[in-house]
Amino acid sequence: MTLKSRGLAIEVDPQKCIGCSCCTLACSFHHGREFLPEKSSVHILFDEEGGVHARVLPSCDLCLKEKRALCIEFCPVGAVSFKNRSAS
Amino acid sequence: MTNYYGYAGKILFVDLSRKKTWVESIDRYLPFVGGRGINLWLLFNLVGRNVEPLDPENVLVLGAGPMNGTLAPASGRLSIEFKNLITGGVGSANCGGRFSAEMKYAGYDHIVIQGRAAHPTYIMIQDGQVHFREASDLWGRDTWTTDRMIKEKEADPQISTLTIGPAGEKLVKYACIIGDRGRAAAYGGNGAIMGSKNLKAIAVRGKSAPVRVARPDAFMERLRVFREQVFEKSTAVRIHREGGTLGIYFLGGENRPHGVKNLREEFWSNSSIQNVTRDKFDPFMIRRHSCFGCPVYCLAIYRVKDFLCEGIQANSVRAFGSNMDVTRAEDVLHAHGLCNQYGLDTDQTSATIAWAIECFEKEIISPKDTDGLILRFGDGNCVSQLINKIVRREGLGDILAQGVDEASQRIGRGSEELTGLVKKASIMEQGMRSHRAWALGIVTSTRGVGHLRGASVLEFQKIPPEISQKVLQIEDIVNPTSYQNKAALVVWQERYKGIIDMLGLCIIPSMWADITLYTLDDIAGLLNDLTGKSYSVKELQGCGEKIQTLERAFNLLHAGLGRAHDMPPKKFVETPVHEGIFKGESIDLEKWNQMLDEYYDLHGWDRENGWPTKNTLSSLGLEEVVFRLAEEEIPIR
Repeated sequence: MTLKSRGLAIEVDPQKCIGCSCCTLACSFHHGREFLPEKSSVHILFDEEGGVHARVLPSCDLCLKEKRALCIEFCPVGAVSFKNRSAS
Repeated sequence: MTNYYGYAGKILFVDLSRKKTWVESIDRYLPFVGGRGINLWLLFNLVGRNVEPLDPENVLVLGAGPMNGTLAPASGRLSIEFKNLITGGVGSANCGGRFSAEMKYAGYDHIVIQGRAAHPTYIMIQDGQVHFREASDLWGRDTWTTDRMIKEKEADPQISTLTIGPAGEKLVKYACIIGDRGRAAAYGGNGAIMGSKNLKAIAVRGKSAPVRVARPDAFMERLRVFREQVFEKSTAVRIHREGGTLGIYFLGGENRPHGVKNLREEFWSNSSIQNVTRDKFDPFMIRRHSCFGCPVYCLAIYRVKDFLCEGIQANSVRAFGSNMDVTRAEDVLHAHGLCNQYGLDTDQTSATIAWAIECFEKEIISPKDTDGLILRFGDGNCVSQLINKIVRREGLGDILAQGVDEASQRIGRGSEELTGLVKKASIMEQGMRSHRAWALGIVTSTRGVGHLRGASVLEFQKIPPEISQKVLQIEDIVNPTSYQNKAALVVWQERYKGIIDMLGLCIIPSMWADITLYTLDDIAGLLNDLTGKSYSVKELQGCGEKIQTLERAFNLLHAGLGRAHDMPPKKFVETPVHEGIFKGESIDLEKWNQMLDEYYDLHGWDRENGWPTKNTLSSLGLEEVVFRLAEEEIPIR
């Protein structure tokens, strides 16, 4: 049974996020073993007033083949986590 | 197809006069590695000795390094090189943000901009496409509005920008480029150079060119270990996360030097300091922020009075706090924010205004010269008014817009005695009279002044001799007032800073501020896994030395700079610290000269002139420089 099928998804807490995009870079590495935000499933837009607009695309596979979800591992402020979709 | 691991592999050339662009492979520049290194070699080869900084023939070279665009911590820095408007020598600036990464994702490691546009223009670079856009409606706008309008015009909020504000347009000599609204690439007047090219902004967005990694799994594993076992355990990182360099700067209170009242003093009491410590800026803070891919997030967004700004670091609090004797945090933040919006270098702005205030105090200038404005230390409103006058080039502001060197020549009447100039640039620092390596690093800085060449924060940290010996191979640097071993520390730091800049890393979370961070072994390991090359620590240091020596040669070729320009301003020699734990300290010229001898010896430059020698240049692979200097009949030894 996969994490996705168990109803889990990646969530970015806009209150904690500081806009570094480490999650975006880590995710693109997961997908292609190289760095390119366009290939990432997580996108962060940090506007001029500090507003955070996060998008997690359907291409997110929850890093099933990694030891840990890379976006969660590399977020320096703990803003990225798994959420239970059914609970949201 | 060549695998450019860590590189995009291309240099983009943009000619504004002819609206032409072309691309060259990076291959033949790779001995200079990247960032500041390759920028510098391009500058050396592209700009003739007789080109004036504001001529269309001057170039702006933007450079990313191999680490940019990766997950390496604090790898968001962009290097910018050009011929310096203030010193006439090498112009070199650096800013964080997202630009360097976006350049690589768009397919370019370096961008060379030359010529002069016929009308106000901005350049939009997107995945191999370069567009010359009309910018008349942006001209006159501040840096934040310009950034916002470009994103709206291009319908892409993730675009990264380098912009100038009104200061650059009006050719204020210390105008600077601002990256992504809040990151100043200060020093050398690059904002005015951009203004002289009718270039309001450079925008970049990349979606197609990944940064490839030679040994991806090894690179990521090394990053994991580095982040978890070094970065996350660093006290410096923790403090910077709480408040940038400002968090560390005031930890010593009055028991550390401060630049006060045009640097005529270096003691600032706790009763003043307590009003502008980091927490005093918190009421204005909207939220903490970070450069691209940086887990340190040492920045914040603030709202002050009627506008937004980013910052605030220790430099700005010295610039508009202690150096103005202003103790109201809102006034300090407001002056910093104005510089942010107008595109002004805070250091030179502060030095110029503080000098004008001291001239006024000493009755060298009067209300007749200032349109009735009373100039006095401690008055934040006066500082903001002067910043506005400088940018509008109104009255005294028009004179001050030329910087202290020219303004003092124009005003005369003893105002020259109040300056603190090296290579025509103003020192706006602290510790000049008490910390020998710090002062030597600032005075010998190849870009004029400033503590981001050879000056090392380690001199403020009482590093035990066994540690400095083990890590730096330098015996003892504990006592700041001692001249012993300080030349060695400066040379070590210059090489290290060269490495940091050529790779696109940030100096803040590095050995500059914490001896455990980004050691040379860490850097070599990451770089080799990224690029697939096999740099040794010694080779990296050789690259750092090559950059430093090439800048020195550029300064000789273009501005005739040498030993005579490595001497400290009179005030730091003749006027000792008047109070506090460094009371009585000043620079001893005889010891300074001995330290300079040692400094030149370590670099392999000749003692008499402070110029690189033929042997040194050749051993660094810079034979072309020897040839060029010979062509110009410059008698290096």
